[in-house]
Parts: sequence; structure tokens; C-alpha cells
Amino acid sequence: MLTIRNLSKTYANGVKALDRVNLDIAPGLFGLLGPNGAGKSTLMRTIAGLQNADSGDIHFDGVDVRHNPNALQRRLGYVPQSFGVYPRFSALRLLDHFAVLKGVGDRRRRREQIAAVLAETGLADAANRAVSTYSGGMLRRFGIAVALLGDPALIITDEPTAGLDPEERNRFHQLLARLAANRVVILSTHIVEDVRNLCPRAVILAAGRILRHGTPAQWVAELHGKVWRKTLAPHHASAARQKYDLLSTRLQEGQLMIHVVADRAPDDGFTPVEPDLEDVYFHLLQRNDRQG
Amino acid sequence: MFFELLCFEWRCYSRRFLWLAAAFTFAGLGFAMTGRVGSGAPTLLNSAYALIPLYQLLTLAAVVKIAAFSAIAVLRDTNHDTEALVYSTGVTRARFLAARFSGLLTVSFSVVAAAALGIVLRAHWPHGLDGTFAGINPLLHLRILIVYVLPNLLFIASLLFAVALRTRHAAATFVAGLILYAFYLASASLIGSPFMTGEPATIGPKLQCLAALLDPLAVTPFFQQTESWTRPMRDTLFPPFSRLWLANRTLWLAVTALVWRNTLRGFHLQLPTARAKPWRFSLPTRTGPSAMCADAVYRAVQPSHGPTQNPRVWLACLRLELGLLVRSVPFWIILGLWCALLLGEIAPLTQPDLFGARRLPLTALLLKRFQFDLLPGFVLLVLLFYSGEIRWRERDQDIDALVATTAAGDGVVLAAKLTTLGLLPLLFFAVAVLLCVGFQCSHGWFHFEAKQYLGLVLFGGLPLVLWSAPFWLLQNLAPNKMIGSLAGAILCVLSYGGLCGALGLTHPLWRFGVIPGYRYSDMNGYHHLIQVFAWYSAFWVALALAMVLLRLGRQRGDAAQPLPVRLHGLMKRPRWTALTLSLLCVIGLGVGIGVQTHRAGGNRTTAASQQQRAEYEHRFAAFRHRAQPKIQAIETEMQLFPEQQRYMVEGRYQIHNHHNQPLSDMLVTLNPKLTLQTLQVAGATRSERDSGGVVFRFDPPLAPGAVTTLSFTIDHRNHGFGAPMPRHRVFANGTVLHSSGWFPTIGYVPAKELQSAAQRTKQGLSPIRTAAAPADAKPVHDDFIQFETRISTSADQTALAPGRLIAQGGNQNRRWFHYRADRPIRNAIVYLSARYSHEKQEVAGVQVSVYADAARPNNSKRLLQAAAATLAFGQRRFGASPPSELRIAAVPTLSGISGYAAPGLVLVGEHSGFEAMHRSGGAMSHGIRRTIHEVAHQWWGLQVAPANDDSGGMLFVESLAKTTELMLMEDMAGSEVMGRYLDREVARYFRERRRVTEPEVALSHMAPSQRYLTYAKGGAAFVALRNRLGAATLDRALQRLLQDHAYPGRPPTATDLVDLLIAEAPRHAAFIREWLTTVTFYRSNLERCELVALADGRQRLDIDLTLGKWRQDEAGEAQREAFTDQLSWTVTLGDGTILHQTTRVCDGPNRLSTILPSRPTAITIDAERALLDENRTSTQQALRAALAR
Repeated sequence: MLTIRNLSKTYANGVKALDRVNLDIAPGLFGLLGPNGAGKSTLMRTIAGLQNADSGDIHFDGVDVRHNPNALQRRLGYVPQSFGVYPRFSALRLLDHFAVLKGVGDRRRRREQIAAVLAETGLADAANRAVSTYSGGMLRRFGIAVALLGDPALIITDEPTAGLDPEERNRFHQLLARLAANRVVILSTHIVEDVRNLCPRAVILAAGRILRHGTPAQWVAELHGKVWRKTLAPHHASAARQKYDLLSTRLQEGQLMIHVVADRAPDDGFTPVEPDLEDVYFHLLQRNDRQG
Repeated sequence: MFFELLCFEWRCYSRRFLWLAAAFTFAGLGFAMTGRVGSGAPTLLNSAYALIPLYQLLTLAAVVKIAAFSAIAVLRDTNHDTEALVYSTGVTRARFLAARFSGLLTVSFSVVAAAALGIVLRAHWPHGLDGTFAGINPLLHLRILIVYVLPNLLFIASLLFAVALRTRHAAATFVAGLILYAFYLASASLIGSPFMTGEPATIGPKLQCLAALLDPLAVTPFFQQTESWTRPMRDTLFPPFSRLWLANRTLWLAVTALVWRNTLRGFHLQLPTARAKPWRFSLPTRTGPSAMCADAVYRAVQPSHGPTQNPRVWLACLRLELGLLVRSVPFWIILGLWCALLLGEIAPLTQPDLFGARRLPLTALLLKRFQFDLLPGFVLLVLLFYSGEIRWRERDQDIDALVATTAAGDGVVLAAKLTTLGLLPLLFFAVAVLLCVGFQCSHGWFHFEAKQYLGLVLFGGLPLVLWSAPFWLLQNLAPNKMIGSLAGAILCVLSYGGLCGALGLTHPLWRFGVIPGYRYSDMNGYHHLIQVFAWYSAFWVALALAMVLLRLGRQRGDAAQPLPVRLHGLMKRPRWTALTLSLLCVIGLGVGIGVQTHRAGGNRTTAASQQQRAEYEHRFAAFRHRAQPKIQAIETEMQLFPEQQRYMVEGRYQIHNHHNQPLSDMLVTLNPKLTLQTLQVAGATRSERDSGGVVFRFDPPLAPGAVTTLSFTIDHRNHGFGAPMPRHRVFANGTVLHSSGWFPTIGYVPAKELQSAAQRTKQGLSPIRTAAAPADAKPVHDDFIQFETRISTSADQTALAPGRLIAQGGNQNRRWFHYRADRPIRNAIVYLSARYSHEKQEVAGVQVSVYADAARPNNSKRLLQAAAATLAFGQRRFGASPPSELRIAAVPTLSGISGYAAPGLVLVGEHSGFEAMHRSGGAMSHGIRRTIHEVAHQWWGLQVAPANDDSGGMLFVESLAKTTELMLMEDMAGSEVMGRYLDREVARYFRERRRVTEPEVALSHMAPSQRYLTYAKGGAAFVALRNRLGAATLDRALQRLLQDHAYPGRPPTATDLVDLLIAEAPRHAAFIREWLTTVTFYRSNLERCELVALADGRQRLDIDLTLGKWRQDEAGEAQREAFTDQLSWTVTLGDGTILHQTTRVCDGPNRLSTILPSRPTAITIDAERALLDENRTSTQQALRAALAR
């Protein structure tokens, strides 16, 4: 169980990246959803011990992470938002190096585990290739392979599917789902669909604060009957923005489709729709903007 | 649009800290280097002549900075992922490159131009330099910057810009900068660049044009062009555009154009592909399923973080770092460059010297060529480069987050990186050792001295390994690699570049990693260094450890933090106990070293030493002309303890009042570096005491003819701390204790006065007199003494001293020797002790012995033969016998002696005659030449001592010894060899006379320090006199000199010698006076040399030769004057016949004609070397060329 209490972080330039964040994360896939600049990466890096918070506490299975980050790192698998590799080294060689760093000392067991993570991440065919020649998707999978080395009880993946093609993304989701069976896997993303597909529990973060904490299905249920849709010609977009309190706008087959949250139909032409997580997400962000 | 792009480029650089730091550094360099760079010829400190080399050197220093800016210019798009954005804007390739390169050039120019501020500031600062500044002339700086600096920057920037474009890698660009830098330094040292040698190119004249052309910074053409400039020219002129200079500039601009052509052809506004990085190795791509992965099932593996984890991680990280190192092309380029530089240094060792002799490829000689300068310099550059690469690797590769979250201990990862850095120097040392061994094998020399190589690694390698710590700390404090490297470079300059000294921080503890006294001697090994090395290395290790402990924490996002936060972070992370212990060690060891250096070592700072000398002069100058008694006899009991580096001496001087007046007081000058335990004068009391001297008051006054005794005891131990004590040190093997200047001296010692005009002014002293007044001539010999000593040493060593060995003995622990001079000898007493092997021979009643280092008795026989030949020559030609026993003894290079003559005892440096000798070749070598010279001093200087050292006295000492050397060289090796050597000496004379500050004086007035006169011109003068007067006439004059003026006769003056020569050859009086009492020289110029075949088969030879004669007036200006003289010249025919010709010549054009029976093979103008011809070599070359045509 990962417990975060009153975690705050303000950067030297005055940006408040985390504002008294409180979280309890149990084993399983946990989504961290938020727009760019919401503080997701700061939170991930702080949990991983890569940067210090100004105040607050982080405990993982009873270990005080802020004061003893090394204890968490012994059980951590971390896949940063972007990362590179040492040039001119094969995946096998690099994984062996990382396995040693992670404390997998026994050579035979190390080799077995490296073989397994390569198979798990679909990199077995490219095991002898220099990692620096990998494509973006392969590199992400290599990151997961590194994260799986040892015995990670907590896996943090920061924007893991950014830049992946649909097939890669799908494989990645399956891998994460398998991994989450007996460990905490935090999936930080701004892609709502990823959270919807994968995470039974999630938070929505904006401007360093948690807007919502719980299960996405419950959030969606709370909006049931309150989301209305209307299709307009695209040139009516600005007029609609002035007239309605829009939740979201999207183009569908050349027509502008607007979503509005309201207890009843705001106007003629609006039809009720089943809300989805994206509606929840935008609704919360909008409300946060208004309150902010 | 281009202007806007350029402005944008300027903003890109000028907002960086790097630009500010570089500009500040160059302003500082301009300040520090003003007055310290150039040919050394006197000139105004800010004349064009002085400033141009300074700016050229700054351009060279700018190479690394330009490499950094090139990387920014080319790679900033890659680094910031803006390549696609920029390339897709529609900007053309030409405009893109022009803007980027113009920005690079502008910013590089601005940084070098910042040096002008430092130079101007120096002119307004109390500078303490020997020289004055003219008024500030900003236009002069601008002109130099445009004419000299800009073309150099254009070339360097083009080259590095092209490398950056081709490789798209900062490291490769830096490596290119290092290569360019190292290449220039290597080629400059090969061609004898003025930067390296302080004088114009020393290669042969044939290659001078080539060297001037090939110098990319146009330094050589500048010095060649201005070589003959006089002081007024140096002060006022701006060098005109000579043909050589223009050719050089054209050549290098053409090279620049070629670089650009290649750049333009190879660069496209496209994203780099894998193939665009050809300098990287890539693993062979193996596809297909990996067998080991086929059936693998993922299972968690419980990590082990037990006690073996840290060593395992350390090893893994070390393997990774080393793997990354050896897989990178820059590493192999650097290694190749290192090998090339080493070979360039050691290959000339076995080249034949002027006499055709080759030196042995001894380990010590090989190492000496790079051990103390190239090796530390190069390795520091490599460390500086790789400290940035290794420190910033994770961030550069964007892998820091992955590594930082692995739970591997911070200290362990850091330790692995530091180990890699620390292994780098050892790797380069190992390559050097292997190369030396290979070189020795290739020359058939298989006496490998493993101890020496190990000593090199230990004593030279450890300090360099420790440099990893400060470089690492600076890289961690810096926000990026470039700033870290710049800070490291500044630290290097402070420690090794002499900047600390310039700032007044003279103690070695200010200079990181420095071990004072780091020198090697075959005789003594590193024995002298052990104690100093132990203390200093412990100090540097503790300091390095403290630096490492300060930075044991991992660099999590530190680079993004401002410096105060990073500094605060440093304070939070260290292991306080270890850090405190390290710092306590640093303080304790520092105090210990300080105490030993300043108390036991008797060391003083430069300023304190200068002040002490000034105080001596202030306090005791009254004794300069006060009558003082003289030492009549010296008796000493000397006990040497080589292993302890200690000696004890009890000395007794018999002091005689040789004046015809009573003496009431006597000054005894002391050396402040030695502490006397007792000092007493019978019948006198101390009245005044200072560390530099003691005044004794006689009560009653010492009557004329009376004798008294001065006795003293010294117990001195030298651990090697403090300033070196030249010619006075006990070594484990190879003790040299010279008494002169160290043991108490009677009277005032002018040599202790400050010599520098600037220092004298600073200390409130009036300017020093350049030449002694005639009144200073000594009427009688006052430094000949009776001498007797008993000297004891360890049982395995032989102790030597002047005089005849009258008894010796010893037991298991000690040996003693009793020497006594049979007749008064000059007071130049030297005590030696070493493990010697011994060879002897009797020559005309003189017992000649050679004492060589027992472990390396190379070449003893040759030296013995040379000494015997000199004795025979001297007795035959000059008469008067030397002492009945003559010993030639090896002394370690550490003593600072390559050759020295004491009465009956000649000291030859172990690498100047004994070991650095030829194993094949002719009868002559530099070692033999030096031995002859020193043995000749048994007549010249030791039997005849001049009346006035400061005014022509060296004629009787060095000039006549040089003459003996030349004549014997002619006998042994032939006149051609002697002539070649003399030509080089004359060239040295002309080169030096242009560089000296004071106007040249005639030989009859020269001072001992004017070595270009005492040796070079003095030797040439006596050879000319011998040729014109005849050998027999010169010998007669010299025999008369010995008969009349050798002790106890009256000491001779230069006038006495001139009179003796004129008395023997009165019709050559004008010729004798011209050489000895005037400053006269000639310039010849070959206008035409024509050979016409006559009808009868004979050849008519016509030579048109222009001659000019210059005589220096009292103001120091050379004035041309008319002359007529007989010019001898020779023609050598094909069958070897030499035809001697004489033609009357005069000022201006002259024709030398003759009819020859056959075609000549060689022509020599002025065969008797009667004219001191500045152009003799070039005239001879022109003649050879004409004959070849």
C-alpha cells in the first residue's frame, strides 16, 4: 500500500507543482490522470525518490519513502516519461547491468529473469541489438523490461503510451494489466482512454491538486443523465461557446458535436447521452478552473 | 534577414554564462600574460612587436573555447530537439550555415578581443615587469585583431565547425579541438617555435621557409620577419606584409576554403540518420529469436542487498564505463594522438647529434623527454575532457532516471565513475611505458629498468589520478559540462600554468597535485623524493577524499538547481565523520608540510627572499669597498650520512690580513638556508647579526700580516622540503656539496644583490651597475687557499674532494678519506660521495681517474681518453702543470650540474657525459666536448684567475676553455666538424645579442652572465686570432699569460691579455683589438657566383660578394664603417685538392676571381674565420646552391 499525505512541492520559479496531495494506493493498476502541467511527473519523480518534496509524507508498506528513498527503490520499477540508453550496448548487456544495479546478484537467476522480461516485453528477437537503434515503442518496452528486473512491488510508468502506435499501445496495456496482478502499478497519463481501459482506481490531478479520487466507473455513474449533446454546423462553434457552458467539443464527420453538463436539456436540439470518463475529466477540470 | 539571424545568434551566445566566463578568462589571460610572451627581446610591453605574439598565443588558447562554441552553434538544435522546426522553416542551407558560422566567429572574436581589456588594465596597474608601456593605442589592438587574430580564428572556427557538422557530436568536436591543439604544440616543438623555445625557429635554414609556411597561426613567419629588428624598430613598427607572411596566410585561407567546400558539400538541412554518425561503433545486428528467451517465464527475483552488493555494483558500473570508453572512437583517436606525440618526443633521442654521435636509448633519457611536461599536460587534458563526459553521461544519454531508481548505492556508482577517471591516467602511463619498451627493443637495447617505469607510475601517476577529484567536484558544481570543463581548465592553469606564482601564491600547497622536487636521477633514483612525496601525496589524497566525500550524493536534478542550492546540497550529503577526518588530515598534513618547508627546509616565499636580499644590501653594502681579510687556508672535517641526507662539517678558516692597514671589523656572509651551530672568530666579537651575515669586530684590530682563525660547525639535513639548494645537497647516491656561497664567506658578496631592475626599485634600491669599474680589479689573487679535508661517508661509497688523496680507511659502517692540496688552489671546494666505479690512467705525471656511477659505468673509457688527451694537449701547448691528481666524477642531474671544474676535480652530469653518450660514431660528442672544456679549466680559471670577473675576466676562464675545446675538437674530429660547431655558436651569438636588454659590450668588458659572449664569441675570437696570428704565436702568448699571471703572479686583466697578444704579433694589433676590445661584426651577401668553362678546359670562377662592416658605438648603435682587409677563401676541387686564395676586400661590392684547373666541389669564404660574419651560413648556403646549379 502506497500512502501519500499532504505532499507539496513548489519550484524555484514559483510554480506550485503539488499542493497537499493525499493518496492511498492499493495493489493493482492505478491511474493518474491530468492535463500537461498538472503535477503528475512531479508526483511520480517524488515517489521514485528522484526529487524532494517541500513537505508531506510518503509511505510504502510502512516505509518512510521521503527519508529512506533507497528502501523503496529496492522494490521499485520506474519507467520515466522519456529516457535514453547508453550507446553501443545491446539489450542483453544493458539489462544485465541494470539487474546488477537492482541487486540481482546470482548470475544464473539474472540470466533467467532477463530472458523472461525480454520475452514478456516482446524484445527477445532484438535482444542482441544495440538499444540505441530501437524504435520508440521498443524503447518503451525496454523501459518496462528494466522496471521488471528484480522484484518490483511498485511500478511507476509516466506517460508510457505517448508516441506508441495502436498495436504497441494495446500490447503495452496488456502487459501492464498482467503486471498489476500482485503489485502496485501507477499509470500516469493525460490520455483518458488509457485510464478508462486499464485502471479500476484513479485520481484526476490538476494544478497540483487532486480533483477526484476513486473509481472511474463511479465518477461516470455520478454524471448519469446530466450530459447533453447537440450537433451543430462547425461555423456555429463560437456562438455555441458564448451561449452554452460547454463541457467539450469534438468534430464528427464534419459536424461539431458539443457536450454540456446540466440537470435538464439546456435548449432545443440537445439529446441526453451516456457520459464517459472523458466527460467526467473535462467536467472536473472545468469546475476546477471556475473555482480557481 | 541575415542580419536578424546574426543578431539572434549573438543573443544565443551572449546570454550564456559560458560566454561571460570565457570573456572574463581571456581578459585575465591578457592581464597575466602581458610582458611574459614573445621572443624575449626588449621592447615596449605594448608595442605591436610585443602584442602580436601575445594575441597569437591567445588564439591558440581559444581553440578549446571555439570547440565549445562550435558545438553550441551546430548541436543546439539537436540538443533541444528543434532540428525539425528549424530545418522546415524554409531557410536556405547557405543562409543557415552563414548565420551560424558568423555567430560563432563573432562570439569567438569577442572573447579574444576581451583580452585587450586585460592588457590595457595591466598597463595601468603596478605591474612589476621588466619594461615599460607606451601610451594606450586602441587602434593598434584593433589592427592586430583584424590582421593577425581574425584569419586564425577563421581557420580554427571553420575546422571545428566542420567537424561539429559532420559528426553532430560535441565530444568529437572537443576531440578535434584537442587534436588541433596537440598537433600545433607538437609541430611547434619540432620546428622550434618561438612559443616553445623563446627564440626563432631553430631548425636548419633550409626548413625555415617551410616551417613558416606550415605554421597555421603565422607565428613563425612573424618571428622570422622580425628577427633582425633593432630595439627602435621593435618599439615602433607594425610588421609589414612580407612575402612569407602573405604566402602563409594565402595557404591557410586556401585550406579554410577547402574545409568550407567540403562542409557545404556534405551538409544538408535534413535530420541526421544513423549513417550520419559514422564515428560511432555499432553492434553487429543479430536478429531472430534469442534461444535463451524462447521458453522463459517471468518470475520476480528477490534482490540481494547484502554486503556483496556494493562491490558487485561497483564492478558492473566500472565495466560499463570502461566499455563505453573503449567503444568510442574519440578514445581511440586520443590514444593514437598520444602515441604520435610520444613518438615525436622520443624518436629524436637516438638521432645523431652535430658530431654524428648517437645517444643510448636509456630508460631515464626516454622518460625525461615527456615525463615532466608532456605527460602531465596531456593526461590532465584527457582527464578534464573525460570528467565532463563521465559525469554528465547519464544526463546526456537521458538515462539518469533509470539509473537513479535502481537502488544502487550513490557512493558506489560514483566510486565506479571515479575509478574509471582514475584509471585513465594509468592507462596513458601504461601506453607510454609500452611505447618506450618497444622503442628500446627496436634499437636493440634490452636493459629494461622496471623500477624506473614503476617509479614513473607511482610518483608521476598518483598526483594525476588525484586530479580526478577536483575535476569531478567542479563538474558537479557546474550547471553543465562546458562550465565544469572551463572551471577545471582554470584550475589547471592555476596549478600548472604558473598563474599561482604570478598571483604571489608560491607555496606548492597552492597548486593541486604538485609534488615539489619531482625529478629523477639514475644515480639517486627517487630516493630524495620519498619523504616529500609521502607527505604531499598524503595531503593531496586527504584533500581529494574530502572533495569526493563532498560529492558522494547522487546528482538528482541538481544541474537544474542554482549554484547556492547545489552548494547547500553539498553540505547536506557528505558523510560527516569521514569528511571531518579528511579535513583534519588536510589541516594536519598541511601544517606539517608548512612547518617542514619553512622551518626545516629554510624556505621562503619569493617576496620574502627578495626582501632578505634587499636587506642584506641595505645593511652590508658598506662592506663592498671596505678592506677585508682573506682566507689563507681551509681545513674541514666533513661527515656525510647519505641515507639520512645529512652532513656535519667542522670548518676552520685561516684568515690573513693582507692589507697594509689594521682591520677593525669583518663581515662574514652567511647563507640563510643553512643554520650554523657555531661561528667564532678568534680575537673578535660579534657586533651585528642578520640571517644574511655577521659582523665581527676585532679588538684590538687585526694588524697587517696578522692571522686569525674562523671556525664554524654546520649540521644540515635536507628532507627535500623547501626550495632546491643548487649544488649543495646530500643524496643517497651522488652527494654534491659545493662550499662556495654555502659555507661562510668573508666580505660582501655582490652576487646576493637583487638583479632585476623592477625588484630593486620595489625594494628601494638604486639601479645596479652593469660593469665593474677598473678600480675593482684585484691587485693580488685573494681566493687561492691551502686546503685539507677529512671526509667520511657510508661504507659503500667513495668520497671525493680537491687535493691529493693522502690516506683513507674505514670499517664496516664508515669510510674516510683524507685529501690535501699540495699547493694553493682556488677556493672552489666541492665534496662528492657516491657508489663509484673507478678507472685511472697516468698522463705525463698526472694521475687521471674517472669515477662513474657503479651501476652504470657507460662510457667511462671515452671520458678517460678525452681527459687524458686534454691534459696532454694543455701541457704541450700551454705549459704549466695541472694538479698531480685529476678526477672526473659523475654527479646526479638533480645537482643541476652538467659540467663543472673544481681544482683537480671535474664534475660531469650523469646524463651529460656518462650515460647519454654515443655507442658508435666519431671521436667527438657533446659529452666529450664538455669533458674537454672542464678539464681545460684546470689551466683557465683554476691556475689563472682573473683580476676582475665582471669586466672581461671570463676571457681567462670560459673563453680560453672554449678555445681549448675547439682546438682539441679540431685535432680529434677534424676542422670541418669544428667549423660546423663554431658556426652554430656564432649563430647563437648573433641571436642572443638581439635579445639582450643592455647594449653588447666588448669581450674585454663582458660579465660572467653574458654567456653568448663568454662562450660563443669568445671561442670564435680566439679561433680567428689563432688563424690570423698563427697557432705558435697564440700559444706563446698564452704560455706567457700562465707564466706571468698564474697564481701567485698578479691576476690578469683583459688589457694584460690584449697587450700580451700584441707583444707577440704587433702587426696584427688592429685585428686583435677589433676582436677583443670592440663590438664589430660583418655582413656578407653573395650577389653572384659564376663558373665559366675556358677553351683550355680550365674553369674561371667569379664571385661577387658584398661586404659590410658595423661597429657598435658607445650608445649601443651599430654604425657602418669603411674597411679594407685580406679575405682568405678556399676552393675544393673534385680530387680533394684545396686551393687557398686571398683577396683584398673592402666595404661594398667585391669580386673574387680565380682560374681553376677543374670544376670545384666546394667554396669557403673567409676560411680563416677572421670576420665575425652574421650571414656566414647563408652565404655558404648560397654558394653551395650556386655550385649545384
